[in-house]
Amino acid sequence: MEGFETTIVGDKGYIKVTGDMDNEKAGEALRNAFNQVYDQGKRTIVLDLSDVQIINSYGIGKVLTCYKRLKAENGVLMVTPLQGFVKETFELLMLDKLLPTDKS
Amino acid sequence: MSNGFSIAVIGVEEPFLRELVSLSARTDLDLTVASDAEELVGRKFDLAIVEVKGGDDFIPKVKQIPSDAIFGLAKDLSYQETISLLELGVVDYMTQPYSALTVYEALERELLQDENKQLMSYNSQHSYSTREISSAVFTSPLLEYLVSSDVISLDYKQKIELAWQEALANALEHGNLELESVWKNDLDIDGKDRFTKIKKARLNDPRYADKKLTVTVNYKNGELSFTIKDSGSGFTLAEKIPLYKTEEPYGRGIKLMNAVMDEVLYENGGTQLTLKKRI
Repeated sequence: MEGFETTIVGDKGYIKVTGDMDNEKAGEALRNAFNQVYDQGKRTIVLDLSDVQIINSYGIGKVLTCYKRLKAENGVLMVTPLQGFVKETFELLMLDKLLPTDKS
Repeated sequence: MSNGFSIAVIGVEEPFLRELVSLSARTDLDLTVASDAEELVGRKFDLAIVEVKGGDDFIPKVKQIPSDAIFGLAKDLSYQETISLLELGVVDYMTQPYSALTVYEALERELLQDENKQLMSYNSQHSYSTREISSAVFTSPLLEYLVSSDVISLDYKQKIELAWQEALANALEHGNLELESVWKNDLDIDGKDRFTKIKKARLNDPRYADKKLTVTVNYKNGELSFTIKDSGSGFTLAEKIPLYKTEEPYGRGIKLMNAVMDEVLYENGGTQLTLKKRI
């Protein structure tokens, strides 16, 4: 099952997203990585989108699906500091208010 | 294209010839079909699409072509012949299997770069099946041209493309495939959502996958417009807006489009969308 790379640091699960978040393959990879971390009991999950150049509403939808799955269990979805196009898009859609930044 | 671009189609065989001609009927290109260059003596064309076959006499034949810009369909050429073709100044070439759509995209790109004609206006219309569009990333040679001629920045182009891609995705998914946004919240134990599952199934169902989408790209007097017509049953915005809350995994497409474009216009009961931007 292919997915993005994940790491566990204490209570947090990190997902390193690579490539563009705008197609089904990326959506699947995110879902698999999320499941991997979630199944290990982590409810604070951080998405590292620093290598992502393009994100569209499809990719954002997938991110928000992760947000909802965590929220249902009082968990938190966070992002590492955003930059470029992804940052602009998040701000445009006010997602920066919804997903806190993990500064560690 | 509404600049009076004339295209010669020389020596192209069936069934590909029919594909080229039928696609041209849906664009503004003016095609003249001939079986060889001799038939077109005395005429000049902006571009020629030529089927080039290997053999001794192909070089003089290519030189006879009444156009400075040649797009070659290379059939059974040896490596050396391919090199000769390129040295003759062919702007681009394609080997079999040929794709009419690819030829048109290459033509548009080439014609837009014609220095003798300034781009005052551009109009192109293509029809695609749902299946074709779902597996392709939509870009427009017009936008590439606008970036390379410094009319817009790469950043600007990316944002416009994003808005157009959102519009296409909506027409495809909600229009032709009749998928409902709320299905994205219907997850199974592995986090797989109903929307994705039904989408996959419908893309393999000819009743959905064969439905058409028509895309028109227009640029005139500094205004860019992009129109999509889908074969869905339409919708009214008033029905959809209440569903869109920040945290739901849908509703972003329309927001993005409105943020980037100057005008977002739904017509014909929601089956036709026009995005406009003044550049």
